[in-house]
Amino acid sequence: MSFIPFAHALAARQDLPVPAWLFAWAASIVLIVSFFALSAAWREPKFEDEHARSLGERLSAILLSLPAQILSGAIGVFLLGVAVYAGLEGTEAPDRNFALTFLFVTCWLGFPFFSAIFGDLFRPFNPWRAVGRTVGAGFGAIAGQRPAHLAYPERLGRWPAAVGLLAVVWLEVIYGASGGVAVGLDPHACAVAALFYSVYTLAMMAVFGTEEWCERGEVFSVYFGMFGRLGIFGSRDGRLQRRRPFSAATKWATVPGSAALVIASIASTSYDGASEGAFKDGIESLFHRLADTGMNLTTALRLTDTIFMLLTFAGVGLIYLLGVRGMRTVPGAPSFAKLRTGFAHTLIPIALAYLVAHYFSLFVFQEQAQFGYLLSDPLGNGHTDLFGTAGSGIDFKVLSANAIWYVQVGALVVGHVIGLMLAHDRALVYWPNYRRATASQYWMLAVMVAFTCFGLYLLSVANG
Amino acid sequence: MNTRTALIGAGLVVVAVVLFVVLGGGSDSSSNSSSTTETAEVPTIVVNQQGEPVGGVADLTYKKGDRIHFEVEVPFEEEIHLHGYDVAKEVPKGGGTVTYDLPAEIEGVFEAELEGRGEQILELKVEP
Repeated sequence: MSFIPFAHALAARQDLPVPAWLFAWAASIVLIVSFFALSAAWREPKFEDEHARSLGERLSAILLSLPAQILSGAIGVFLLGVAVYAGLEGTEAPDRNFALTFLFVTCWLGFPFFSAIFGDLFRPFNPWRAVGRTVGAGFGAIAGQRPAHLAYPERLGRWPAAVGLLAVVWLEVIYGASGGVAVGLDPHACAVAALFYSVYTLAMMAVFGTEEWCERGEVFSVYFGMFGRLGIFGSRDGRLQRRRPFSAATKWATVPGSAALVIASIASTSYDGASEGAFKDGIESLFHRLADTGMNLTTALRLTDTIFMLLTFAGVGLIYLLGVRGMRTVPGAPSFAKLRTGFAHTLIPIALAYLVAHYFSLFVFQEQAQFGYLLSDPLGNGHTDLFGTAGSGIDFKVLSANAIWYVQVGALVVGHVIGLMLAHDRALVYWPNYRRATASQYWMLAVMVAFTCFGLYLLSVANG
Repeated sequence: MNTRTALIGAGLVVVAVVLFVVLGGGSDSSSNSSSTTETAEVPTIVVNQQGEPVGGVADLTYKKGDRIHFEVEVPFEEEIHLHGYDVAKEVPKGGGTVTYDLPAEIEGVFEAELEGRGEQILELKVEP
């Protein structure tokens, strides 16, 4: 019986577990930082206002011009097309086919990493948005009126994106782990899934409108856009702006389902990491119980993994809600629903830290493949060498184990600090009384310490 | 005692406890381990007719700079692939034994598998 998580299918090198001494130091630093933050934090909100400054009319005019939008949209559509074609027609070897690395590493990890610094980078390249806008414009030109759409149900909020996020991760790390076969997600299945998703997304855009669906339901727009709120660049009223880092995140969670989305992000990364370490024995135990009932091995494994993934989601959500419940006990607290929504954005840095900690090395290794042999031979069948790099490989010596450990631990500590900053800032809005604001943050501090130490623990037992 | 002093004091106590528990209670688990059949000091992974490693997936741990040295005994024609180090060895028709002997120069966790069957037979760790 082989358990082959997604990363194993692509990366030939896995990370060593973080050693005990580093785990201890990191946990200590987290606690010291947390208590210091409580005792020495500021008394006026600093991030509620974006302090945005325009970047200049000329730059905005060029980057936001219609030709630039058409070009970036066309690039997105073209690359999605290449990925789907490679998945359908290329080799079934996951590590040799352009599709998997492009979709699940370059895009799935690259957009969060870089959007968290520079703002939402996916929006201009979103292929479905480009198609939706083109079709909408074509309809308008022919019919002489804007297409009519149904009003998006407000209560639905970002729930479709949250469910979609879990579905994408399920496809990535669970569906591909078929019993006893060390293939991971195969490129053909990945391409078919992309086609199904495209049809679904375009249909939803037709029903609710392109921009509305991108804002609420389109998984990738919402997910990457969430990390983009941490970044320093954005646009408003047709102008590019530079804003205070993290400040745009404070207005992100005003839509229902936002908390579920960020919790799903933390949970899915946690599950992927834990399935190779902390949950390994539990998964094997439940799998064998199910298999002993006569269930098909593949079904038993997928069902087991799905149960553990949902339990992780429930566990992460429960920890957050306990923190919110605790804040509710502080005199002058807003309603539970308002607190639940109002503090959801403080988890975005934690979600990003989890991504960096768990996938940083995979990203560095696989991007060598992406811009090396996969670019020259997208189908992976050895018949093409477009840029003369088809024979290149991955240099696994580019990162030492120590370098990976320090990046992992550093990401979690920095994410923890930013999360605390945002939570403290929001508390000052809800409790103008500084003492009460600080009292409320004992609870969020406990939540953050729990997530950060859990993240460190997962790293310390990963691949152990 | 004011609130700030109490907080810092509480923080230091918790930190001390964490350091004591983790560092004091933790044991070094990096010692070499193997679920392989040891023959003449060279670990040997024996694969059965069903294409599975006898005793489960083998587990070998080396320090960077050591020599990775093990054998794989397979009763049928196959290709053994040590990922990461990217070393493939052919087992001839009728089966046979292949030997891996190479410097441990890349840190990390790696798999060796029966390439044709996609069956993992070894988890190799190289520590700093």
